[in-house]
Amino acid sequence: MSWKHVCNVDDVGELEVAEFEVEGVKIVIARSSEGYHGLPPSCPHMEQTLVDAVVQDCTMTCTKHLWQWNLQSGAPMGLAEMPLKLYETKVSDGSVLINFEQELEYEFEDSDE
Amino acid sequence: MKINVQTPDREISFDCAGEERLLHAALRNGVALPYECATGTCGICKGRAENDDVTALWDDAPGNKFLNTKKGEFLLCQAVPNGDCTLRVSSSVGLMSKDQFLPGACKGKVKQVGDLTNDTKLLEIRTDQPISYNGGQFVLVKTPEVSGYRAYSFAGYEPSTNSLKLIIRKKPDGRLTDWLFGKDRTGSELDLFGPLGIASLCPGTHGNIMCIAGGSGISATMSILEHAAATSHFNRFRGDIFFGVRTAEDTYLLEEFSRYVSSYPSRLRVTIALSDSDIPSSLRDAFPKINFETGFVHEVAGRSMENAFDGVTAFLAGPPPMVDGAIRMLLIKGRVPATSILYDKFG
Repeated sequence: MSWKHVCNVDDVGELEVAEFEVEGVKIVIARSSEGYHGLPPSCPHMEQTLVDAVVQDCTMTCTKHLWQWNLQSGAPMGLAEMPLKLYETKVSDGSVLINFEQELEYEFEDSDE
Repeated sequence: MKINVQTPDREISFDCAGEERLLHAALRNGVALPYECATGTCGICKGRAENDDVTALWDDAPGNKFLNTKKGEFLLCQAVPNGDCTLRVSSSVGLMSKDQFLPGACKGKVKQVGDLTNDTKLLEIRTDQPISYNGGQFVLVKTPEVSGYRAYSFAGYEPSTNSLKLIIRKKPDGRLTDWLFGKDRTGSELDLFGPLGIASLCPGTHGNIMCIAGGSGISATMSILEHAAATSHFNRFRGDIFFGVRTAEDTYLLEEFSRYVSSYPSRLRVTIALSDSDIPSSLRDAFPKINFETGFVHEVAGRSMENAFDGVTAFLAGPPPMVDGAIRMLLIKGRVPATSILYDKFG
């Protein structure tokens, strides 16, 4: 386990999304009704920044093409065609931490490589 | 030429003519390859092929920024095949459903061009074969004198018709609008491909509807309104229309909207939102059946539809910032499910 500090709990208001940096890597923290969720900064669809995504209850919607996910499980909802990658995230002593072993990236199918 | 498409869950084949864009060939064969703008800007139609299997028609397409060209990615709406080939697409692809009209190519001639405002014209086209479409869909238009297709919403609705109307707003440095606005183009030949788009009325499925439109996006709204009226939709359901412009001089179609409101006084409501000026009393007096408000159209719509969002299907059409603002308002304030928010983004 490699828990790294991303931000303070007050840095992200409820139902808000903000971007931070951990060891040079961009991390987005989305705060839902269930807590804080750490994820890669861009939508897996067409790489729209998720800082502009809308959070309602425990669902995040990327407003570019309306892909949606459950923020606890990363499961795709509505139009989304792939799951959202999530960092294990926890709150401790007023800090939001993620278990950061390496940067989470989306691998797009590369069947001929 | 035979084109084979591999997707995550299936393989589909279709035929494509020599100089035909791959996206067009797929769609006219009922193969629902993903697209959004169909005009080289959004990147949604990207696929992969081997090196020399396809030729890209537009090297400077804005949508090229979404491509990983080292992996052979290209835009299907801007490419033609060089022979039989295999493409790969990362989305699930199915066949178009039976209640959609298969698009096709046809020729047309400019029948008439009229002024709606100082920067917007109504273009009437006569096609060489009838086209069927649903209200809210769009068509690609090309003239031999300007390269590349442009997308325009059908501005009205008629089932199976040779008469099309498009609303065209002058675009700064736009080569097609320079061509159209620069000279009398009556009789000019056009190539068309359509109908396209998913933000269209499905009379059997949709109930209460609301439309938020900015600028020439009102074209798609008028098309939806006409299709709804033609199918007696407002006998059972409500329609709330919001048209956003800057000033009173930018408004048009108000007589047409007034006529529809008169036909369905308790079901249909039309509101014009002026973002950059007050509402002249002369405008209110001239169009007593229409509501006028000041502010941005998506904010006006949000206030106006308070407590009335339940079960509504929302159609959006207009400049990207307006569509984005409307999406956020509908999700957050309206709590409208994302699957009930429909729009085609092009231009």
